[in-house]
Formats: sequence, structure tokens, C-alpha cells
Amino acid sequence: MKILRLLPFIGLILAGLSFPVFSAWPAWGKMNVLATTTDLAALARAVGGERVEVTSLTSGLQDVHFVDPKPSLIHQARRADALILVGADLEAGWLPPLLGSARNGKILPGAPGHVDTSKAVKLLDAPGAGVDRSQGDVHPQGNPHHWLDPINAVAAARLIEARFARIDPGGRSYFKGQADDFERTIEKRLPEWQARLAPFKGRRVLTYHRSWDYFALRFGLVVAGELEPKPGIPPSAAHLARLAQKIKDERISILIKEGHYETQSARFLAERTGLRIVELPLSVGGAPGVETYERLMDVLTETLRGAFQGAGR
Amino acid sequence: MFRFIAALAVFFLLLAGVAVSARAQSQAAPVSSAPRFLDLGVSGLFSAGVSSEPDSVTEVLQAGAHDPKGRGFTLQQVEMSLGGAVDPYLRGDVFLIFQLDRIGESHTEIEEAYLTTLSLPHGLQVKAGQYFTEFGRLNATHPHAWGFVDQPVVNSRMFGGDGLRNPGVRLSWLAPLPWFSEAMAGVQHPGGGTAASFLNTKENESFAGYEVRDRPVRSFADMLYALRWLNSWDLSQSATLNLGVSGLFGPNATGSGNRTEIYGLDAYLKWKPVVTERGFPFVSWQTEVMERRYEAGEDKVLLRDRGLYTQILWGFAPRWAAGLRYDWADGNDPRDPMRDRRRRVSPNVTCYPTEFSKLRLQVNVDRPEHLNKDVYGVWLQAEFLLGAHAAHAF
Repeated sequence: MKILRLLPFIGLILAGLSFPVFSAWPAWGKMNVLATTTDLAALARAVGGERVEVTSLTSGLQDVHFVDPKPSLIHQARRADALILVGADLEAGWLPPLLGSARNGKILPGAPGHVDTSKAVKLLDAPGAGVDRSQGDVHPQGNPHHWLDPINAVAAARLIEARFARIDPGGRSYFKGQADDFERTIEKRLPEWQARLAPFKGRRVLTYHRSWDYFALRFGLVVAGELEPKPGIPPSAAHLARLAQKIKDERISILIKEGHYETQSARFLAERTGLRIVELPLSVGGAPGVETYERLMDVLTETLRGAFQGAGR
Repeated sequence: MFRFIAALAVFFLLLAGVAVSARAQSQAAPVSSAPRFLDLGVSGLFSAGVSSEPDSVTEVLQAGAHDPKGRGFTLQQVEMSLGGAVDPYLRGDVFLIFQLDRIGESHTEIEEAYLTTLSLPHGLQVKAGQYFTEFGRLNATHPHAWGFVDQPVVNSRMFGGDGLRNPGVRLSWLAPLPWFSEAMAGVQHPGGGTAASFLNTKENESFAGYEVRDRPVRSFADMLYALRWLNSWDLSQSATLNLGVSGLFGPNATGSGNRTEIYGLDAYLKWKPVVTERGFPFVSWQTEVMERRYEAGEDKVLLRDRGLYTQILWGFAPRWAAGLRYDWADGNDPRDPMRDRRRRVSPNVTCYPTEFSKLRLQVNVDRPEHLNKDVYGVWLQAEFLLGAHAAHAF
């Protein structure tokens, strides 16, 4: 049982040995930035430029509601100087255990490195008092899919800029210049994107999940309903039947759907009503060639314009 | 002398931890956000079922304290979870269990109540309080998060019905390696029914036929020590492999100076494609192998027990998962229900209407050597989760 007596000392020696290894880490220069989604990673790259190294914890194809807090993510979170998140509980299923295991005070709530972009924008669909889970997977603070409005993306980029400047004060003016550039780009491109969808202003569309409210509001579309009867609850036959009637009554021609949702219900409606199914990437990296935020908006507006033109009415 | 130095070492580790994390945190200015002082959650786990044997036999075979215990209905457990940030340096978690036994008596257990440090430097983390020992995968997982209705045979044998948990303190270190590598060392109180293979004099009159006697904790050598090393690799974007090795060292109650050692290997392989629909499909494979060396009686007879379970879960469609588990355990004592050769096969299927509820049907085909015949059980389990529920670790 000699080993037992040695345990506390082994612990002390290990802790001592680890000291030089870790104290060397922050000297690597670039700010180590983690983003929970590819969209936020794109914003962080736009703002941080050459002063940051950005990694997204998820892929642009992934449903960010359902992510496993894999140890490899803990491994990454441990070394991060900043963590940029969508917020409004979108990551509630996996971020808390990640932060709890990462032992990294720099990215805990309250620290400058904890960048909750939902705090920078005005959230839609906040259910207010009286909400409970019988209404599905509702987010009490509001709809978290805020990045799909380019104006919100600018607000998020400004928050990122402010936080980057606090973490790396030497880069303050650089980050400001980068964020200014990003804002100018969006200001220049937004009228272009809006012009593409302007002929279809006021069109009623269906969405699968309540992910497109911000986008619709910015581009003048009206979300008439969702395939999910309640957020996070798959469509039932009765709900689809009601929707089929609604599509006919309200002359709805388009369904916007993310790639990770099943296509069966959408096809059921398409066959009965002539509804056109438009699969759109929800995020940067969600389709080939969509590598930046501007490209995402390009693809979204371009694809939708084509779909509206093809759908006729 | 040794006791003094060891006590001092533990004390300073804790103190240094809190002090340094306090320093690290004080640089962080708080940002306003919605208050979230205490997350409160409740989960209920119920089952109904039948067995080919009477309840007196089922109670022995279904040795987990929260397993279905007999024909008809069982309230497996109601768990209340309370947790949140204590201050900028610590997180606190409390799990209380409420249970109804077969004669209608209610019981309360303090399942866990512990502090965890949030931001120690150098990848260190301290956990202190009453907690499940991190041995293998299943022991530290709460019953409602298990993939099966009941506890694996080997866990019931090594750690008793309630799993291995006791007050103590453990240090964990994330090693600076290119992959996830976590080393843990803990020391816990060795006594009571939640340390079944150690100084457990509370519930059993005897262990494997050897009389157990109260034995006070006299020195650091009488504490229960737990070591664990867990590694994880992403084999691809959609596949992750965890490999762990664990060891337990402590005294037992069958004689003065008698020791118990338990060793374990665990593997977990999960495949889940990048594009999923509500988290489906997935396939996970989980296996734990354990060996116990128990010095029994005044003559210190070495009792060796081994066991394993291996289980596969397949989320074959959104909301649906099928599982298959194989149990094997052997302690070379054909007459002792806790040490005989035991094999059990358990297929099941689970429906998850949402992440907050589930309905599970499981069949057990059980071959305990001491009964010399097959025992069949069919169990239906329902679960609900209310309130804030801590997301599960991977």
C-alpha cells in the first residue's frame, strides 16, 4: 500500500510539472476564438482578421439544437480566449456541460470572452409570461435564429469587436477598422439582396421550423405557418391536413426547409397542393461555396428569387 | 507524520485552487443578463412489469436500488436536481432522490451534493462533497440517463444497489496533449451502503459468508482512493471513441487491515452523422469490464470477482432507439446470488416523444447459476423531466 501513501505527492508533482507547459500557451500570439456556429465564426473572422484564429464547434450542415458535448469540444474550449454563441438557449442542450468541464474562466458567463450575440440584437417571438413546454421547445428569451437578418449580423459583429478589443487591447483600432469594413459591405449589399426579393414582397411562405422569422421580416416575406405544429415537435397528419387547406386558401406557394429535416411531410403537401419545396442553407457552410456571411445572403436571396419566379403566383 | 503531510497537501491544493481561480476571475468584469440563480429540475422514473419468478427472487436478481423490483408497478425514483453558480469560482449541484419501497414507505437520499471549481488554472478542477465516484461510465451516470431499465449486474455486485458514492474530494487534470485526456484522483469516505465492496457494515451482516464488523477509519490508508484516466478521440467528424481505465483502493469490513481493489476498463464508441434529424440516427457501443480483489476474513482469503456488460444502442429513426445489452459476471461461488455465474441478455426499444420524456420496453432473459434455470422479465418504463435539466455529459 505504499502507492497510497505516495498519492498526494504524485498529485503535487504532476501539478508542478504542468506549470511550465501551460504558462507557455498564451504566448502563441493569435487570439484563440471559438464560435458555436459557422455563421458566428464567419463574423469573428471578418472582425478579427489576422489577429485571431477562429474555430467553429459545429458544421454548417448540423442542427445546432442537437450537438453532443464531445470531449474534443471540451479540449478546444479549454484553450479558448473567447467563445461566441448564438444565445437565447439555442445551445442550452450542450454548451453548459462544455463550459462546466473546460476549466476556462475566460469564456464563462460574465467574462469578456463569453460573447452572447443574442444580447446585441432585438429578439423576436419572445413568448413572455405563461410559457411552458406544452407549447413545444420554446425559447423563453425569444427566437434564437437572429443571424439571418444582416442588420443583426452587423450588431453581432459590433459586439464581437468590443469584446475582442477588451481581450486584445493592442488590436482595438484594427478590430474597429475590420468591423467598419464589414458594416460597409453589408450596407452596400443589403439593398442588392432586398432588391432581389422586392418583387415578391408580402408573399406568404411556410417554413418547417420557426427559423426564418428574422429573414422574412427583413426581406418583406410573411411566414404564414410552420410544418412543426409546435417548435421541435414533428408534424402530425392532422396538422398537415390543416396546412394543406391553408396553402390552398391563402395561395401559399413556397415552403422553406433546412436540409436536416425530413422531406416526407413536405412532399406530402407538395403532391396535394403544388407547394414548391425550397431547401436553403441556414448557415455558412450549409451549402457548397457558402464560405462567408455575404455568400450566405447571396445564396439565400438568389435561390428564393428563382423559386418565386418558378412558382408563378 | 504521513497523515499530517497528506492532510496538509490536500488542504493546500484546495486553498491554492480557490485562491488562483479567484484571481483569474477578478479580472473578468460582469455583464448584465437575466438572473439565473438556481436551476431546479425534477425527473420521475416509473416502471411496470412481470417476471417469471416471484418478487422474493426478483428483488435479489434486480439488485440495483432503482431497478424494477417485482410484478406490477414500481416507482423507481423521483429525482430533484438543484444547481447553479455559487459565486464566480464555484458551481454547486444537489441531487435528491425520493423513493417508494414495495411496502409503501417513502425514502429520501442525498444522492449527490457537491461543489465544482469553474476555472482553476493548468486544466485542474476540484470536486468536493457527496458525489458518485467516477469509475467507468455507468457509475457516475444518474439512472434516468441510462439506456436500459435496470443496472448492469456487474455494477450491482461491485458497487451495491445505489452505486458507489460518498463524501470526498477529487482532483481532475486535463493533460496538455493533442487529444482529450483527463486524469482524476479522488479520496472518499470508505463506509456505508454506498461503498458496498469497502467498509460497508451498515446493511449487510456478512459479505460472501464472512462476517463484517464495524471498523473505524484510523488513518489515510483507511480512506477509499479512486483513480481514473479517460481519453477521447474523434475518429472522424461523426465518430468518437472514449477509452478509460479506473482503479479503486480501500479497506473492507471483514477483518482488520483487509483491503479491496477494483479495476475497470471502459470503452464508448458513438457514431452520429453530422446531419441528423433531431439527433437521430446514432449508434453507440458501451462496454465496461471490471475485476475485484477482496481480502476476506481474518485469514485474508482472496476473493476474485469479474464481470462485464456490453451494450449497443441504435437510434434508428427520429424519436426511436433500440438497444441490446449483455451482462456477464462470475465470482466462482455457485450458491451466492451476488457471486455466482450470471448471464443476462436484455433487448429493449425506447420512444422519446421529446428530450423531456421517454417510454421504454425491455425484456430480460436471465440465467443465474444459483437458480439453475432461466428467468424472464418484461419491463415497461416511463420517464418525465420537468424544469431545468442539466444537459448530459458525453
